[in-house]
Amino acid sequence: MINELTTQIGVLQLLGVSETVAEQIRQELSSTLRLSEVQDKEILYSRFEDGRQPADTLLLGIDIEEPVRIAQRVFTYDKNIPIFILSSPSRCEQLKRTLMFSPLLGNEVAPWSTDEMDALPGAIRRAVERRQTRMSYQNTISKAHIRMEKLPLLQPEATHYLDQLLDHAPIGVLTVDIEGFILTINHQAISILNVSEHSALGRSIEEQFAERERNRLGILLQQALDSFSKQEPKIFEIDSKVKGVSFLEVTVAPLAYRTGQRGTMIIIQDVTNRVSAERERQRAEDDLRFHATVLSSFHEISSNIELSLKEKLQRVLTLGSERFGLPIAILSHIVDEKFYIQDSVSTHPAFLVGIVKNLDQTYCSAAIFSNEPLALENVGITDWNKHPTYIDHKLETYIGVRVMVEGSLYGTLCFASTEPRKASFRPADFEILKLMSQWVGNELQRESAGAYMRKLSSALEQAADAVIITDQERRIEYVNPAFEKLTGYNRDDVVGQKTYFLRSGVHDETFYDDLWKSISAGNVYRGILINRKKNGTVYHEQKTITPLKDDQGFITHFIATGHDISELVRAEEQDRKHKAELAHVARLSILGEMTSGLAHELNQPLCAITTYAQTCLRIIQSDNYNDGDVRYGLQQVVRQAELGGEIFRRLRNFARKEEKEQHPISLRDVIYEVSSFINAECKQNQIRVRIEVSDQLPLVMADPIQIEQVLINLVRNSMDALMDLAADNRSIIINASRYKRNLVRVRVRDSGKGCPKDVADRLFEPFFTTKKSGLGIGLGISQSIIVAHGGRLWLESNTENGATFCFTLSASKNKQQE
Amino acid sequence: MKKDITTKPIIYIVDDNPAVRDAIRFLVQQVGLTAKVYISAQEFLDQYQLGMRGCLVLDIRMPGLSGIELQEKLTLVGAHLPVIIVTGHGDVPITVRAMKAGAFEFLQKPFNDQVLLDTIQAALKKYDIVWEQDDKRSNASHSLATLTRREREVLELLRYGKSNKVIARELSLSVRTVEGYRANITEKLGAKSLGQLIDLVIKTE
Repeated sequence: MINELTTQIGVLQLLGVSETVAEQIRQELSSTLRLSEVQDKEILYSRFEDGRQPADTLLLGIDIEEPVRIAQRVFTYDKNIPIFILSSPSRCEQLKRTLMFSPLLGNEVAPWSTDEMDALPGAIRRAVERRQTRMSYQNTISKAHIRMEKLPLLQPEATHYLDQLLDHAPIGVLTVDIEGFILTINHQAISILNVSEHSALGRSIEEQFAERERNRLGILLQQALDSFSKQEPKIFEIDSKVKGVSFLEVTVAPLAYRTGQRGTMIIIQDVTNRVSAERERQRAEDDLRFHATVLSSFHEISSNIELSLKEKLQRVLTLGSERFGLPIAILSHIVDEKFYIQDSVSTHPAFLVGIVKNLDQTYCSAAIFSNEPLALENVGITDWNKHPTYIDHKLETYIGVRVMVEGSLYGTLCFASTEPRKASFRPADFEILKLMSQWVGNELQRESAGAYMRKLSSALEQAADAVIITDQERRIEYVNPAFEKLTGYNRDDVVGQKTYFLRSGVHDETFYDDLWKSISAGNVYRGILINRKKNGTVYHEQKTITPLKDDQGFITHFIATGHDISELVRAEEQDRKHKAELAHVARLSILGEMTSGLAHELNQPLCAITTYAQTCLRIIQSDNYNDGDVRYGLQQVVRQAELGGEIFRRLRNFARKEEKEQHPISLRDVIYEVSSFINAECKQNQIRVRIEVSDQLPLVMADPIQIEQVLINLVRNSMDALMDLAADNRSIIINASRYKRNLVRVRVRDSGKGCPKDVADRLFEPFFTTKKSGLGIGLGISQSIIVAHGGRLWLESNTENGATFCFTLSASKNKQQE
Repeated sequence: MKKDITTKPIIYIVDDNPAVRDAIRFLVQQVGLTAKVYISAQEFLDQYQLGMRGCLVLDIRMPGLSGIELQEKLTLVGAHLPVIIVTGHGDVPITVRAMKAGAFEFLQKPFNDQVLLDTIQAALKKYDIVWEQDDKRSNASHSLATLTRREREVLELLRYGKSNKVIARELSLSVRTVEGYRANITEKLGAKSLGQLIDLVIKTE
């Protein structure tokens, strides 16, 4: 019998240990160990002799003499006590050698070098734990021995108990004899193996296993018999006839019967779930590895800058083809229900690059509606076997996904094979395919964006228009070759500069300020700028300045495009001059035609003047001289002379060659001026002229002389139309009124018989005239004058009660007239 | 019933140009003539009466009724009024037309004051005789209007040179009665002889 250990907390016995060391150990181990200190070895011995178990571990101080001898003495009392001997590092080595030759002492005596003091408490604690475990084993074994002596009495109950235990255990237990025939089998084993107890007993265990596994099982049983030891559990696959069970874990242990016969106990456990889970995990791991490999291959391909997009796509197709084990790999482009094979790694003649199919003839037509891949396995045994692709090409396996570029369908990426697939596609395959599709989409998008940028920049470079790009401070960042050619400045001269150097000085500061304000507010400027080239030449540039904004709407740049329109401006100037000259000629022609009327007009005041003056002379010479009469006569002379002067002014004005700028004028004034002009002629032709000018008539932007010319033209045409009528019926109405929103309309209506249809059609033709005299340019010129003023001239109505000509002019934005 | 027609002649000035109109008025009044101004031919026509004495100074070109038309209308109603045309336009067709219509003279603006005044005087002088005859005729016709029906029948037969005896027979009157009528007629018409009597009758026709 061995003394029972009662100590829960171990005791560390110290012999001759310095207080410093003792304190250190106490601090570290006080929670698990109680420290007992003695200085004299004789006291220590006496405690051991007393039988009072004094310690679990002994620590000898550094100054203790003959520590090995003390250890040997202590061992005579307690063989299991670990002993640590503190010593200096040099003495420690010597002690170790000494101990090696002391067979009495086990490994539990350890010299401890003082330079490893930090590790000492840990070592002590572990030694105590070891000792206590050992002591507890001895305790248990001794108790078992006691029970063993009582066992024969208890056996029947024990057997029954064991049987019960076996039957209800969650594991199947069978015993077999040395030949492998089943001797016993519990319920669980029956259930697992799906046999009846009756049919199982006496049969070979191997029959319960699949043919291919029997050999392995036999070996396992043999090993157990040979080695007399339990064998590591092994996994066996069971035939599918066993319902719901696919895998068994089999543990085999040797048995020796009292009869001397030998056999084995076989423990079986359904581990299908565990194995499945394990395999699933394995597969997931494979997927992950697959994922990772594909990803890294992707990375390799995509980051290889030496590859063109074409080559990259080719490699990705190859990669996918290899990964999925499908020999046909296609990148398609779908346009208008057509399926274009853009890239392919297939050797199948139906799937080569450049082949075009109808979309509905492809499996892909079902894959383009979702971002999720479409996978088909064993098409031949599914409903898909009616699909044209299957009928035509016997494609058994397919996996494909759509490719989106910039949010719209580009095509599909798909892999296929004429072989049925052994294993299903896995989620990882879907993920990989989606990833590939995204990558392809991105690459294509980048390619197209890149192509677009290249096109754009090449467009800028080759544009005929001069382009300037400035930052928001108007500092030039870029100019294109057209700019260099136009201005004569080199790119290097101007980049970084502001655009002031282009100014010609024609526009004033306010002009540029307004322009700058407008574009800074985000408006696009369109207009004509007069700029100066490097060589000093001034040119007209048709300019468009567009502010560029970032995502937040802040202006970051300005793009100015423009081209030299100096030629155009010159041509327009020339054209305007020609027109003006023509108008002038026409005016002179009108004057020529009006000579008679005008002469009469001028003759009136002249006649009056002559008569007044002569009469005055007469009065002066006469006897009855009268101051009042003479004054009256002379006053009239002055008035009439002024009137004559006015007529001359009007004539000179009208015959003037140079034109005036358009400015706000009163149409009322113009109409009355015209009325004075034509007065004589109308009188001569006995035509009444009525003028109707509505109140609040706005001013119009115009050159008054040209408008007079138009009006005179119209009125004189009307006169001509009236000459066939009786004098009483000859009337012309000149009317001016507001028209629509911003226009003023002038109408000249005559009471004639209207103008014949064939004449009306040709009215505005140049050199068309019905008059005996006249150039026939009047209406044409009138029209071009009005058009140049931004208005319109037309024949408004033409009936047998008269014709009405109309023209419009834009109201000036200035204040209203009257 | 206009009796004393031998009043002062009036210068009628028709011109739509106020200055010319006024200048002519200024001139003619200066020489002691009476002037009346009209701004249009129509206005003059509206106020015109047969027997107006004077001279019409007429501008040809006017809105509405023209000078020529006025002149033609006056001729039509038998007006004895000299017309002096003044115009700024010396165009031949109009001049011819005016002269044909009996214009007295044609003056081109601006005219010499003396020429105008002389023309006016000449016209007045020439038409004095006309007007005198007009007066006489006018008196005769007034006298004729005072005869009784019998007296007019007798006068009519006298005009054809029939003797008292024949007239008496044709009218179934006594010669004595016819003689009585004849004496009445001679007295009423203020004729001194048979010749004068017949002359008067012819003038009024």
